[in-house]
Amino acid sequence: MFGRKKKDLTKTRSSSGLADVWFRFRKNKLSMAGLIVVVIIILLAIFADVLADYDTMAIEQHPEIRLQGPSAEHWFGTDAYGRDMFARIVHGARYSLTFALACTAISLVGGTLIGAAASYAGGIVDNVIMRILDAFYCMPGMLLTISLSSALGMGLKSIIIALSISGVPGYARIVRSVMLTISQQEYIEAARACGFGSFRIIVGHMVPNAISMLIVNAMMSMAGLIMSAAALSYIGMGIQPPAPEWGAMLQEGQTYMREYFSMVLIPGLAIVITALSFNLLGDGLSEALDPRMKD
Amino acid sequence: MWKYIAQRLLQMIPITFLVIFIVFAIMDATPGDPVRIILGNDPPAQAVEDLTKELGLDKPFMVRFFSYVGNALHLDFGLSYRTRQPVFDGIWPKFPTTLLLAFLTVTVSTILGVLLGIISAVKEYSAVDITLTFTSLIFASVPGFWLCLMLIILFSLKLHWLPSSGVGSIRHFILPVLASAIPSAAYLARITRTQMLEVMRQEYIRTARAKGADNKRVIFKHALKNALLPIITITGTSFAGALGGSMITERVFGLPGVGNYILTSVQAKDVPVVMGSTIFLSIIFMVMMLLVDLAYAWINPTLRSRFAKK
Repeated sequence: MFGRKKKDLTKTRSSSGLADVWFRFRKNKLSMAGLIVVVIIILLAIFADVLADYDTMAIEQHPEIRLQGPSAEHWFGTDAYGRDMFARIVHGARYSLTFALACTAISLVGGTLIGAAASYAGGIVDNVIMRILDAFYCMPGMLLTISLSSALGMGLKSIIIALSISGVPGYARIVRSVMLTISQQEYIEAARACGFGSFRIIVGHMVPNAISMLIVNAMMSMAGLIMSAAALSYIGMGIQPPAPEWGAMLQEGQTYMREYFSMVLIPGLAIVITALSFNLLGDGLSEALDPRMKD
Repeated sequence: MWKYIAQRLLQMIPITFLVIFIVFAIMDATPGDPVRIILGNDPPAQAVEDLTKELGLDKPFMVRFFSYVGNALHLDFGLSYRTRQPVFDGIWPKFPTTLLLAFLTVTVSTILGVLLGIISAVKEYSAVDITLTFTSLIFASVPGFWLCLMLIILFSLKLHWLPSSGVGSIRHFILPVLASAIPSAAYLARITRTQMLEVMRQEYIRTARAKGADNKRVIFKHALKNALLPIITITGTSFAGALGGSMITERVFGLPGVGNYILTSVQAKDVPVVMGSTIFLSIIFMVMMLLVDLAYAWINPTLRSRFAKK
């Protein structure tokens, strides 16, 4: 009975915590705008097939309507092969969101496991893990990603793996340092004094404390991931044309940028708007989750 | 102090070893037969056999790894697959271009970023501050290579003011420097603003004001000096990063720098060049981080005792 009462207490506290976060987040208009745009982009990606058929509009070439400007029929105009730019942008959102979400999820889980293992094991294991992370950290990031993606043989899966691996050391460092700081806090000592086991302390106290920091970092990394993935495809080391990936579209459009400026403007703006929304969302979230940050 | 430096240098040895191992493993997993890269598509069988032996490709992974490390200790990083020249003979001639680009980029971005950050912080919540903050937020979301393209379209193709590619005069460097400096200046301005605002709320700033120090003195002498620490880290990291050549910026502007060279080498699967340059850049990065830490001690005397104890 005693146990149940305690559970209820934590439950109400965490739910009011979430409400608090939402209340603080809502007050930040820019971040709300970011959230709304992110939701719109996600919806566009989900319903891409409804908006424009992939095979006939985004991939199939129609030489008779190539390089047209924006019109009622083709909102963003058509590209050098007569493909509808709007259809390609909308389908391209799927690639960018897949990269952002999949890579963040993989490096978050991987980094958390490695960081937690390092801080929990301590001693030699911790030392070895940290030196390996140091080695990853001091290699130039883009070079590491490019080499990995070329080793794994360019394609959706290999970009995801390459970008995820590059992201792991960062999360592992955060988790490790948060865990180490928290384990010395007084309330952990108090929890120990109350006779709670290590598992309960880790899951009940340490993880929730690390989580807000991880969420903020994950949100902040989304924009970077979207830009890196586009850069990889742009230099030809990622998604290959004719796939409508935004970076690959920029690479194709570059040839025509002297006369058809919109071919490099539109995919670029798509990247900027997506990245900016994720950044605004991350900013608002970090303020809402940690009110101390904002004076 | 010297003991601390020696200790840090010693720590670099195992990390460098791990870097070599990681890159070696990645490169080993990369598809593509080096023998075909060197000899072309249809080589005679005897030549293939000889070259395989010469490169040691018939030996197991660990043997090749340790012989690579052994050679690297003698500063022998092997021959480029494409040119059959020592790896660093290919890299050094590209270095001046990259060094100039890195130096200009870091100088411009630091001056611009710190200055704008200070203005933002001093005039907190003013129209200037809001404009600057929002602009820097937008530039933090602009991919570098796209900014390059936009600058080329505006300044080379439309206005015909500046060349879009190649080297030759300092004019060729203006667009690449802008393209790399603007995003990092935007980032630096945000950090500087946050740092300055935090420092400005400290009590010693109030004390300085109470003692009658004028605004300029308070901002530059008292506040900026204390807000400088994270700024130094960012400048150091971005200089180390820029020395590796902003690969994509160099590619877009056709600059014959280290970054462009490495990128071509990765695409051509020229393993020794990629290995050598990654190791080189990682060591530069570690040395840079050491210099950053030493700069901390120089700026903040209270940190000096910590170094002395170690």
